Amino acid sequence: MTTNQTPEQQIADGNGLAGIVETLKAMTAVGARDRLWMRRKKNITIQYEFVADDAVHTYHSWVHDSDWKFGEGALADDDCDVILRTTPQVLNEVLTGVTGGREAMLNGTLSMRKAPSHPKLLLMRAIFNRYTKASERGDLVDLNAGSAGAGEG
Amino acid sequence: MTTPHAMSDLAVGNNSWMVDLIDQAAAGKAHSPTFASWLITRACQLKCYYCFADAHKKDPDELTTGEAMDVIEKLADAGVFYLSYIGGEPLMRKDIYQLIDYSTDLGIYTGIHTNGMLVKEGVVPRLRDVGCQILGVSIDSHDPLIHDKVRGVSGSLVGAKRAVIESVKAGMRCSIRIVVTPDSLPALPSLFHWARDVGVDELIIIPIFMVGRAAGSPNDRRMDIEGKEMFWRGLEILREIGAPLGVHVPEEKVACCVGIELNPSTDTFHAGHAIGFERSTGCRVGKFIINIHPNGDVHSCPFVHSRIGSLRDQSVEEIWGHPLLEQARREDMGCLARSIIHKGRPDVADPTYLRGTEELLAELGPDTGPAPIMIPLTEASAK
Repeated sequence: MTTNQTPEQQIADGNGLAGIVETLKAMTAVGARDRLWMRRKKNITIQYEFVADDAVHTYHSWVHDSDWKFGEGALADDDCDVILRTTPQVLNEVLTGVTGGREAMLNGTLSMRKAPSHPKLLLMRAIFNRYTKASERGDLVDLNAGSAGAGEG
Repeated sequence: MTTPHAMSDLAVGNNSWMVDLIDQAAAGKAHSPTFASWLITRACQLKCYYCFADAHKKDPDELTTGEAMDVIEKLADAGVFYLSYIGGEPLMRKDIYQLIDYSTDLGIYTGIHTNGMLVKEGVVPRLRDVGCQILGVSIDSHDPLIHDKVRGVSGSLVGAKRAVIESVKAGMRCSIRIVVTPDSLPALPSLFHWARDVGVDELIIIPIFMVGRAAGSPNDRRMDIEGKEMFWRGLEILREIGAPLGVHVPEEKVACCVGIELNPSTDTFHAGHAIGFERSTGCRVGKFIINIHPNGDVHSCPFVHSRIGSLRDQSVEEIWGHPLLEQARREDMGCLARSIIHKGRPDVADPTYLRGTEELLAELGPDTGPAPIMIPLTEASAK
């Protein structure tokens, strides 16, 4: 982390891209220690395309069985289950419950240019929900402590 | 500062897939239901005379917590977007928070439908904590005498209103569900205005179905036809009240549940938004919905009392292929609950869908049956 601010504080202060990247890293850490995901062994690849500072910034998260990765850069469309394009602010609003995901899609602030199957859509929401609950319960992994890692129970 | 985004930047992809998905479901081409209502328990403190579930006591074969979690996994694996826990009174199950937590952990948009009696301090925050996104509360009238008479328990309106207020205060999406009866019909205008005033998000208007506790009178068919007319009248009343306020009351081809968004923030945000109900017209059986019973049995909708499978030993997809649902996808049959009420079976067309009210009533002849039984009031145990 380049700052002591929380992702939400960074987004509120206008540093949206850095904030949402920290959020997605924290989401990956939450998922990687999640016993439910370890047991269910599901796979999903999500590409995030953030419109910020007059540019599109691309990241991806990749879950295979209980292995979780998050990184910068684009994947081939065929390798993605879902491709989301939005702003850091809107994704943050979706994750914090200020805006519903479907509402954001319908009002044009979030687009999915690759549509998921129903079960994959639920997997994506599962990742979001687990993160949101962990965040609200104060149960996020402290990324600065270096204790987060794939498979950590 | 980040640059304000331009909509054109976001429009590189579009969300037409989502509209397509709902249109596919409406056309009967979905691979699985988008919505499941789950009568999670038949236990209930109230005695509403129209209760479609005839709820009172817990069924002896109600699913255990572990069995219910297995069912939730099956729903998630099938891609069921939205799950609504109904009853009975869902909060009478001690494990309801655990079940909601599990369904939202699996990505299912989850709501609960309560009579409000058990929504005391701390309940709504706990529901929020487990990820519950909609609290639905049944109300029959703004007048406690009428509401309590319908419910058979005095003091019950206090709990229902408290649940609504707590939900709105906590920022949880709140819906008020009204079954249109001779008791609730005159109350619709005042309930509409009260709901808007306190910040309720949506009204769900439901016709009375002569099933469950409502059934059993020789007059069932007549009351069903009259109930359907009363439902249309209720929608007309709300349409007249809502229009000047910008509140849209959808048109329905059949007399079935209608969602009314009370404070539409955009022209694309409507009641039923979680599953795209605003794009569906006609019967949702075989297209959008399944209804699960306390023991895992599955019916095609809450009002069609005809078993089509069990989630104890079948997958959602297997049940979705049931011949009755296939027939409902192929044929425009009207309401299958009314097929049972009038013909005794679900796999024939609903006569009230095909024929006019006057013709049907004339065929039935004079009113011969007794009025519906009103259950004497008892005192609420939880105020």
